[in-house]
Amino acid sequence: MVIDFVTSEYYLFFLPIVVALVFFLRRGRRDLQILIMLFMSYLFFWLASGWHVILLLISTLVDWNAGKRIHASDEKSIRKRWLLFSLIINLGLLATFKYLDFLIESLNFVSLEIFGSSGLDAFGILLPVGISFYTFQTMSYTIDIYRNKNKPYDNFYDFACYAAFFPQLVAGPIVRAQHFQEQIKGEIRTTSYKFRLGLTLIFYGLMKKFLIADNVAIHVNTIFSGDAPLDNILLIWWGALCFGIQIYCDFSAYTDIAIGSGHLLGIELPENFKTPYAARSPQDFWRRWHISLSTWLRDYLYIPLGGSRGGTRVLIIALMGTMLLGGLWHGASWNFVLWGFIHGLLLLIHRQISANNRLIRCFEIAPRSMLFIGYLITQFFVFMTWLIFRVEDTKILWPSLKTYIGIDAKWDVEEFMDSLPEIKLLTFAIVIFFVIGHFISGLMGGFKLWIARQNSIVWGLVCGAMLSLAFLFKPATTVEFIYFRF
Amino acid sequence: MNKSLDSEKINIFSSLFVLIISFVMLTIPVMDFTITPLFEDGSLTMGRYTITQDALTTIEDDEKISVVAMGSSMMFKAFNGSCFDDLDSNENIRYYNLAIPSSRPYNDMIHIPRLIRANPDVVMLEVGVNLLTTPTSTSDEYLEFRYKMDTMQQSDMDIGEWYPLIEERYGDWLATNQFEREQFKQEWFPEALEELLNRWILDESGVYPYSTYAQVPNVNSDEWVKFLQEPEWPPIRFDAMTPEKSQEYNESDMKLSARYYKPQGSETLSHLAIEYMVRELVNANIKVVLTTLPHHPLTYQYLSPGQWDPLNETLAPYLGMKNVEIIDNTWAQGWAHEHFDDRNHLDGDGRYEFCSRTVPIISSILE
Repeated sequence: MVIDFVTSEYYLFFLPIVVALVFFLRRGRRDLQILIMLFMSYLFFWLASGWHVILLLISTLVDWNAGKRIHASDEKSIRKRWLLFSLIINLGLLATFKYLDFLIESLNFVSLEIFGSSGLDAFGILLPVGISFYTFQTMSYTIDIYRNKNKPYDNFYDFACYAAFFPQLVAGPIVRAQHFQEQIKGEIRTTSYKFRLGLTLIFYGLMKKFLIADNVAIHVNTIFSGDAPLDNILLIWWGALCFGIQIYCDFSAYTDIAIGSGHLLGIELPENFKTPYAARSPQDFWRRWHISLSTWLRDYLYIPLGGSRGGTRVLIIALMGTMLLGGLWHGASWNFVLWGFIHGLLLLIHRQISANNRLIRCFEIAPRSMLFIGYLITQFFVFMTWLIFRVEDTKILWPSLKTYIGIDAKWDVEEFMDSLPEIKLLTFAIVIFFVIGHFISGLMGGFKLWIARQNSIVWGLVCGAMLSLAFLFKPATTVEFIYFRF
Repeated sequence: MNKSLDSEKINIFSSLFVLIISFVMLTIPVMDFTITPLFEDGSLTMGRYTITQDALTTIEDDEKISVVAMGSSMMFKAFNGSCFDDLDSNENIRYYNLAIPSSRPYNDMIHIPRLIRANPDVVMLEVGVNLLTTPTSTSDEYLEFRYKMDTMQQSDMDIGEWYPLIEERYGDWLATNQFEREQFKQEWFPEALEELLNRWILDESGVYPYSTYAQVPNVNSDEWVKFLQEPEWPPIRFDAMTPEKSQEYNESDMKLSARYYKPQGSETLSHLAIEYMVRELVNANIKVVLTTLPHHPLTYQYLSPGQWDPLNETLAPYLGMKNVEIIDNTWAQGWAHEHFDDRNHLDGDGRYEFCSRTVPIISSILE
């Protein structure tokens, strides 16, 4: 049996059982609650990823021990040794299971280009589900102890539960150890508000996944299948727009369901998105998109590399290094590296431009217009980078990018319509629904919290409607969550 | 403390109650309102595939003696219920054609529990050289479509002994509870909505061009029973061909029956299905007529020796069985080019011929 957030088994059996077990044993039995969550998290991971559960256990044991040793020692060399031990094991596992085959294939490619032959066989290693997420979590735990920012957990089971907590194990949000520690300090409790907020987030997530992400994915897959006319600018813009919507709705749906599941278990997980397509600059975008990753990269990579305080050269190295590695974190493929590179470049250019005196004056004269122009430029490039993120095949990617920026592109509405899948109008309507919803959500904020605060009847009606939309619009083939691959 | 805990619990349960009610009240009527009319007018798929449950209800309500034919397109194009009505001297009999193009016994068998409840007097089951195989992966698309379509319209009472006969790999295409039935129905929803949007915004429709299988009259309309007896059969081959084209067809396509139809004598899923259907119907006191259908006379010359003998092996166990009759047209004499619309489907003359050959047998069975 495979279990994840798109299988009915999760909602009909797994989650209700965990919730029932955790709260059936309330009143002073906090340790038992943690043990149940830990056991069920490992069961979840085993059902999702099989024997790869051992890797999670290794990562947990390594960082538990490293954290303890670092905290126990005052000697810098010992502390450093244990930190290195943790980093080597964690990054070693990540490198082996995520990047080894990629490295071999890249070497083979270079060898084929230079020597005309490739000598190494890839191992065909299956990517363990969630490895990028839990590795970053456990690493940050050890690094924070090394930096004296945090103390180790008192109890191994608490730490193991933090590392393996099933709602966020597979695709985040990446939770900091301190945050989780505070959540499980005392007896784990929930309230009717938290319970309803949890369910609201789950239904909201399901609606985004099935109504929006999976439906626009049908268009994306058709456009980038290789058969579509890639010189049609309408088609490429539509493909980029649809993929941008797909990836946001897919990933934020996962996050909503994860946070919602956490609420049902009395644990609050951090937010990961803040209406990213309302961003007015590349910097603003990264404050709104995958927040738990971008803050992780900022705290553990960008700042240690020098950040913005060491002059232009250090800034370029820190920023580009962070963005390149951030890109590579997403997947073992050169298109993710390029995606990170372009985003790094956009951030640098934005920094450069925003310090320009003329531009500052323009902002003073017409702030609204300038913000709007900034918004359009930002989103134009954000959606362009989604093309790089989506299309691995360079034979499709390069012509698509050229067309996106208008080189050798044609405007042909009829061809555009003919190239789309059979279901067109419905997808157009869904995209309009998303755009309106996204901006209302950006302007008002807190819609999910508002729903959870309503009385039983209003809450039941709104959530029933969201669940109905998710059920009714679900395409015949459900697409796996995109971030499962990372 | 306890009071607040109780109110929290009440709050949660009342919220969940409203949620479930609103989900059910929103989902099921919306699906029925959207999808059902489009099934009838043939916008989503050929309406013929969607009628069996309604047809069986009509047969159940019909006080006349009823004879029901089931099978593939060969039976579908051979059986003219109105012609049977006309030629049968007994005015208290009604003949229904429930055959469906490409249907196989392992499709038809899933209607048996419902068919038994409809209580017809005679059921004519097609047994033919085109049917006696176990499905392969090439028929997966059709099987998924049919199994989902048929089971999503069923009720729990329709799950019978046919279920374990079907291979496990098809399990995902069989709805066995209400939730799965609604899930299968939901798969049509996006397409249905797209069709409605096309109509409202673009004034276009995706109705299938062939009215034969596509459009279904309303169950309460006067045309409904006629539709069940006498579907439209548009001439698609010989009757619409020039003599030259017809000649070309005779030289090329007549070989196809020999190439495609390689029946087995036993142990296929079709054999299990036929055995199940005959057993259940006979046990329910319903008379069964196993019917083989004719092929164009030119096709026989291309057969290898003994190629279609497994048809005889299949029928052999039923010879002389109580309440089971066999009408064999595959090997019968007298079928000529004029009776056919193509290599294996009858035309208007053929239907009349089939009807005149069959009515006396049915009459004698009912006596």
